[in-house]
Amino acid sequence: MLSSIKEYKLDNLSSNSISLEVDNSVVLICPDNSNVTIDMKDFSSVNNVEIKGGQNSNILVRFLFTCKDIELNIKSDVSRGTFLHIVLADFSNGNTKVNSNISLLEEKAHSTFNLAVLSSQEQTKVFNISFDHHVSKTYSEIDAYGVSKDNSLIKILGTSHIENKADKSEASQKVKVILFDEKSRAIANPILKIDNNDIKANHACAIGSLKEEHLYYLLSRGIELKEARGLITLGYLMPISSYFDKDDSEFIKNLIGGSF
Amino acid sequence: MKCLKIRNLHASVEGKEILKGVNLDINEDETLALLGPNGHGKSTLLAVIMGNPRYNVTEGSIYLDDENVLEMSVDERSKKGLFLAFQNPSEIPGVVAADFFKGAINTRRESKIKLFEFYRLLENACKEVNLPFEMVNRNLNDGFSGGEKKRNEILQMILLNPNIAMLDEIDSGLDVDAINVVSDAILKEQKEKGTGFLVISHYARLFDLIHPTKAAIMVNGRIVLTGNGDLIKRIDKEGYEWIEKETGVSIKKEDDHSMNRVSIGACATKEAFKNVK
Repeated sequence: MLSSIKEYKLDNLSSNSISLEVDNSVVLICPDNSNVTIDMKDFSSVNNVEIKGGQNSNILVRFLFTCKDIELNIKSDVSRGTFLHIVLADFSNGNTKVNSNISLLEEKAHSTFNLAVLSSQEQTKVFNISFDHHVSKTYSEIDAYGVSKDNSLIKILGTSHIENKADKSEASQKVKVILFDEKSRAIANPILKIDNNDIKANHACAIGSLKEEHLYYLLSRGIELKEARGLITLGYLMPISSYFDKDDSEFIKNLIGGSF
Repeated sequence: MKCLKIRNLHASVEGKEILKGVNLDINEDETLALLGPNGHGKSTLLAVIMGNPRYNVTEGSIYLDDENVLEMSVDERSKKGLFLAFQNPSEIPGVVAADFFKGAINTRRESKIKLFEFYRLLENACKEVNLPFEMVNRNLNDGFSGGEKKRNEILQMILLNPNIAMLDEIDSGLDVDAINVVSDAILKEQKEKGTGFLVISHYARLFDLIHPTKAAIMVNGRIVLTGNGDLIKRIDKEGYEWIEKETGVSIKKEDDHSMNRVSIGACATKEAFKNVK
């Protein structure tokens, strides 16, 4: 049971930083024509986040996981002409379970989910990301990168459902995970459910170890194996930091660097 | 003055022997031109010296002075003064070139290089190889043209100050101006730092510019002839056929690669099965 539901009405602010507390449920309400950035950090336990966006808005929601064992449920109905951009960087030192369900309810609703996750020390990190295209001319994109090491597991399940009425819609999914050792695992399942012929959709998934030729190139310049692996991982996960502000970006870089 | 000594070196890849008893010496202050027909082991030799894990050394030795190179890891070989400019440098997305260069420089120093010193060094090296300084903020070789990749290899050589630099077809894909830039950089390293060079090229133009002190011809995985600049001129003029007549060594034709036979209209699976017998 949720102990409380907090509602936040957001104006046209460039940044709203919200810290969620234990067993919290928040509803973020963005009015029409708003342009907002919402930062969410320092999660604990179970969290429910609902984003109610108005029409013709530009909403960026940034999640940064750094603490232990996080369960997060994201829900949003995206309205006409609104772009909902969710960015999630998971460098927590515990298990993660994220369920995200975005409904594209009106024409020209657009949503993107960018994910970068580092899983280590036998952690299990599970992401269930789904988009439902209910009407025509709606757009969704999943772009997920993961690194799994130290006997850990990353599971990324993406579902893009383009319904019968959603002609001229577009859906794209891209999932890439690097496995650092033989005991680490990854499961990626980018699913497309298509009920209309007049759409564009693609999905791609790649799971594998570090490219030996990349490692060899770095080693040939005197970089030690551990550092070479760290550099490649940094390069792999760091692009997520471009969506964060300078301090958080530096923080992410240090978190990744400290893991190797 | 360091000396790289290769003795009776045998190496294979995926069970196929490529190097079949290579003997070669390269000293600092020397520039050795390594020539030979395609597919006879020149690039393999450089890869084996650098420690490419794809290759398996089955016999022989490589010593840098009195240190056993074959017992060193790839990064140790680099730190001991060996450098390989790759024929096809890897594109590594996400790794910023400048960060990588700084990391590579710091592996050779007791204390980390100061930011100002690093940028001054980098700026000068960029000027020397005629690469825009902004490129160091891009991902390593990612989206670089063929010529930019080659100049980026030379830039790294300048930054890392190796004792012996191995250049694998550094001139391929370079236009005339870029070849001049690269050869000027090589000459400067020779003159100012006394760097030794082992250079593979198929074109006399580069050798005309960098003035090799020695030349060696590799055929069938062995060094069959050594000499000076005259040898390079003769190869450029007459090709390799005369070697068969004068040395009695039969030059094996480059192996057909199974995939070369597969073209549009051919069945790749059938072609692949022809080899499984």
